[in-house]
Amino acid sequence: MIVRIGTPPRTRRDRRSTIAVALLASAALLASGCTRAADEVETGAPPTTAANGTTPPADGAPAAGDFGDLEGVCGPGDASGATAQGVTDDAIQVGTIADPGFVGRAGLNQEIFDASEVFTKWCNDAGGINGRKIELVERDAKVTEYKQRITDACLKDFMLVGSGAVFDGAGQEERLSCMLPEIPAFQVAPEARDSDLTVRPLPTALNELPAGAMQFVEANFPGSTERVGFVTGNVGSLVFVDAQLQEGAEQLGWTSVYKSQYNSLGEASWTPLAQALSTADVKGLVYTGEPENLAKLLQAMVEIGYEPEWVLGGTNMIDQSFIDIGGDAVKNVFAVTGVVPAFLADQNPATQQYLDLFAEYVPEGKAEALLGYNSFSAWLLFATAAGECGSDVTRKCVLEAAQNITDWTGGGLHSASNPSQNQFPRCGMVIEINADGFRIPDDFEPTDGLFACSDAGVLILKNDYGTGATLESVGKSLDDLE
Amino acid sequence: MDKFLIFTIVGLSLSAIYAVIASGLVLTYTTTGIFNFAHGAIGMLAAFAYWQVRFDWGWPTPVALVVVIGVLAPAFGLILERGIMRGLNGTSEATKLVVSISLLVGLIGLANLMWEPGQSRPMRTFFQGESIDLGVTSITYHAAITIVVAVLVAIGLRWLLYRTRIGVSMRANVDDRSLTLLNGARPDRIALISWATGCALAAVGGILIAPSLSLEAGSLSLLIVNAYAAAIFGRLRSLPLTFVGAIVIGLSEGYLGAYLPSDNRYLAGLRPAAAVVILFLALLFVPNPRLRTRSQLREYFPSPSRVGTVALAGSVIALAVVMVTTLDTTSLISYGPIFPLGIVALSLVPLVGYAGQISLAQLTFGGIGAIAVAHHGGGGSPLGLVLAMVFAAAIGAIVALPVMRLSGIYLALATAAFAVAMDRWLFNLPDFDLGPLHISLFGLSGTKIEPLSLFGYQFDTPGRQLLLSAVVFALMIVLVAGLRWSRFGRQLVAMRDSEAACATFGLDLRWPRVGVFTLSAAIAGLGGALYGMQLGSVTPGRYDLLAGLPIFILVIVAGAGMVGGALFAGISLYGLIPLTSALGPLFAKINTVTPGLVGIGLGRNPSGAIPVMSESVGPLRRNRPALAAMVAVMVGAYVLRLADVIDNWPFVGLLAVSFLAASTVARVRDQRTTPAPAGGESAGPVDQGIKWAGVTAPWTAADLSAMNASLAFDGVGRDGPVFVPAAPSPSRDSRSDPSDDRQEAHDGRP
Repeated sequence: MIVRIGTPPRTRRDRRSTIAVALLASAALLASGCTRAADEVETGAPPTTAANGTTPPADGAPAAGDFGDLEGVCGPGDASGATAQGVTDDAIQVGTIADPGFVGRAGLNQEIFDASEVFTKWCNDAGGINGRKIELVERDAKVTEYKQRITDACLKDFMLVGSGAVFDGAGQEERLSCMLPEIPAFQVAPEARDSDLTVRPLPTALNELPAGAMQFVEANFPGSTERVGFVTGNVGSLVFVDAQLQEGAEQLGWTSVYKSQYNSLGEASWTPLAQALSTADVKGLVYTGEPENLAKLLQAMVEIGYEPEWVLGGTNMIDQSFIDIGGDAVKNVFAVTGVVPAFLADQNPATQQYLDLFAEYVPEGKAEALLGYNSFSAWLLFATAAGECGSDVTRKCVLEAAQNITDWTGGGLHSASNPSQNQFPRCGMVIEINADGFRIPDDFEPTDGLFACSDAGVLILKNDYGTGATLESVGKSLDDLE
Repeated sequence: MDKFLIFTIVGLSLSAIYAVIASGLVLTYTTTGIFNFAHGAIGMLAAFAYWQVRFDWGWPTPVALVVVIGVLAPAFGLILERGIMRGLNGTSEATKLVVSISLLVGLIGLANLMWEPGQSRPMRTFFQGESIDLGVTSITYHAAITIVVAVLVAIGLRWLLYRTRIGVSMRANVDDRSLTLLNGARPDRIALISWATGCALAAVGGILIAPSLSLEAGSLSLLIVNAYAAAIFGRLRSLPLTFVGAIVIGLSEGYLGAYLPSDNRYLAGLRPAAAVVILFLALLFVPNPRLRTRSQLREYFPSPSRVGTVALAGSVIALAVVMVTTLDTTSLISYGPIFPLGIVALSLVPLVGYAGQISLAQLTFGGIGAIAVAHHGGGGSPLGLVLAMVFAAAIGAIVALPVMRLSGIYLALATAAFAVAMDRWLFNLPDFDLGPLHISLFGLSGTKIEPLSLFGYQFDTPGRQLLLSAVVFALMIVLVAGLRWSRFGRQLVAMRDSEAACATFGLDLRWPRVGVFTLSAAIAGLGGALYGMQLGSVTPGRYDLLAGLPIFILVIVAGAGMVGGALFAGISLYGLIPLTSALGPLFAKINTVTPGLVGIGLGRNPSGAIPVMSESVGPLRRNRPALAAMVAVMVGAYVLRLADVIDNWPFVGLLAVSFLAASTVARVRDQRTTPAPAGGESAGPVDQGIKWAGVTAPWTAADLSAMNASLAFDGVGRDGPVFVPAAPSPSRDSRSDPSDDRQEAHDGRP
């Protein structure tokens, strides 16, 4: 993982109002915040999705403005008129929010900005959206300033596209009050994940749980689900995910024999936890938390000579640093993803094209970080919808055009999803992580390209996991959208 | 039985880590009287240094160990003692605490500057992969080495403290510094050696523990809280008991991992919080500390004046009005926390400033206030804010009752333990029933707080919320200042000045302690509730111990006894730091260590920044015309700003320029109108006060006669005193010299 600290902030157009609140000693102090931040992001990200495989585009180099199997996403045109806030004759101003300025962990989710930059440069080079260039405004929420960035965006932007921020629950009502639509990369807080005026390229419903990986281990390690252990960090957002996983396991009829939380700040020794899992004879471990800590836990397991049959981690485990830290101890770790990871680029032209575009436009960028793919898909969705509106680009038109898309793969970057409905994609792929790298396990049986799809792959949860922000709660309705 | 045996072994190897760290902590505390919160951070720095030389540069392990533990760490200790800790003699516990907490913040910032965060730095254990088979289980070489090191450290320290001359003088230095001095010991050298040894031990601990953690500044520094609990078992003094404590904590973490009923959602979070719960319980059994007798603290806080208090409250509201009328929504949200978190800071003034008690849990009480207003402030009901105070006060009292005997560092640790237990465990719990009570906390996904609505008026915009907080802040300023003037306030100050004297006069100190603790919890609860209202949707992370530490630091830095300190803390943390960070990434980076740096500087000037500031604006305050002109210019600038003639930056510039100009003019005029009595500062021994003669200025014959005069002696020659009582009249005059008043004013701030 490439972390670039001190990367100069890129867009500083609205500097005056963006009085940065970076520092809070708390943030510095608080590395706790950092680790937390990291996972909140990851866990909230749509882990599974998936669908239809990826159709290779026509042979040869793709035409300008074509991405993957999408044709003419961007291109020249004669659109004109200041049809909405942020739209002029020759430009559309769009905001993207992420947290790289977080002092506790500089460069947090920089891939969101990187991918957004790659997309806008590429799209503008291809001619823009019907001739209008995209004017990207990177709005750095630095974890704690999400609400401020929303109010900034309310004043100037046409829309928010490709964003992903850790504390995105804080500004949803402000966003709805100013009727600012959003096409996010990922969302974290329940208020955001189920909010109005949002079209998600990779939806993450609050009451659903993608269970592809769970079903995979159930099928391939018979009997292991009789003795399952749950381990999670003791941070609210992780406990939230863990609670959903526990409910899902219950629905699948698994037997839990051990549950514990670890200290997200770190454990002085992971041996007690490893020993406890071993003593409880846990055969399969469901882990929610940071990759670094799982790596340490796995090492402690090896040291006492204990090896569970499988470990389920979140999508955030698909990260080279997990293997770097864990070394040989990393084995039989499974994660499910709807986004095709970079190591499969040779089997998936869209992924390869994404990497190529990074190399061309932002060569230093975090091209392999999965959340960047989410962001890119959001941008593709936006450009597609805005393109359909022709010259008359309004929030209402773009939002509705995006909502009318029912089958979306981001040009082949990820499995098929249905942006018109806030439901997890029904397809996903299981990734096995071992010391020597990532791979698709031999027993995994794709039904659709690289992915396996089934309605049963997503569990419907019954417990209450919160609700999203609604237009009604701020005294507005869809009729107010212009 | 096997299971029990296995977890005993596992627990013991954990104990060894805590023992090594805790013994370093105890060593510095016993020999220097400073509880080093930064102990873990020093270990962290050492671990980073070790990683650098061992894994990045590839030096052989023994060389790397010697360089880090034998050279770098002790050298760091020496610098620390020379540069920072030496200035802390004679300061209060709160000041010492702030300096060491600031050091913690500063070191984390430093590590982040030197080693980019976010990169993975794999660190292997010693003899990775090798382990010793013990039948039922096995332990790694690394764990075995840790246990051996712990035992060696124990033996070595025992030998050092009891069998060597330097060790004996180390202990003597803590027992009675002056007596030790009389016996010819050199406390400065003792302190140097203590810090060097302490840092080396921290380094050993850091290097042993680092492979279990991802090498990352924050977690390494803060994990050490577990070791603090072990040190408390030994009352921060006894090494054998500290080892017992380490074993208790290590074993309980081990056993909890094995035997905690795992289907209980409420207990799942107990294991990571176990050490702090044990810390809290252990503190309850700390015997009553000796009453502080000689407490000539260097801090000095005058009672707030009525005019000053009203002016301060007024200027808070004026500031809020100016902010609301000049700033855009984004900035209002950014700077909004100045006032609610200022209230949390204000809650520290009666507690730390007046009563000399320390609480690190104020923001946790704020979190309780936020929970109250979230669940009872539906529809903007003001009841929510009232209950925020009531609940916070009630919890405050519950916490205070068992710990009310404690003071100083013990109280600080107890409140820190409470704060950590809350944010690691209790705040994350789902709803539960306690008898007839249904208790809801933050819930899994955070909780929403609705804006206050008072008589149909909705405080639902950032501007209105900011004004609301500012008005409440102003009211609280008056309340807290009024407290200082009351009988209760005088009791608190008396308690701070000398517990022993209070006890002699028959004052029962327990109830003032509980009272002030409860009151300050209530104020913090109100602040936390208003903060939550501004945020709209809150998660426990906003109210954890770490978020609260900077507030604590800044209040002490400003001057804990001054109501203005709270405003200073609020403006610095949530106004100035964000403002300067906006100047560029470099400033943002520097600002990560700013609170730490200012705190570290506290040792030089323990009364804080406010007295210095108020002294420097003294001439301006006395100079009515200059003051009036300045206010007029400021109002003019404000009018220009309102009329949109000028922008925000010129506006701020104008305010600053008018203030600087006015105070310069006032100072010049001040010097002209009151011509210094020939020579100003060095006006001679009488002006300085005779008790400073020979201390701040060389001893002269004139001093001798002045002293004789004031002692009513007469006829003293240079060769020696001739004790002849003098005629009373002239000596009376010199005793009533006005300079005596100045001496009093300077007391405590030499």
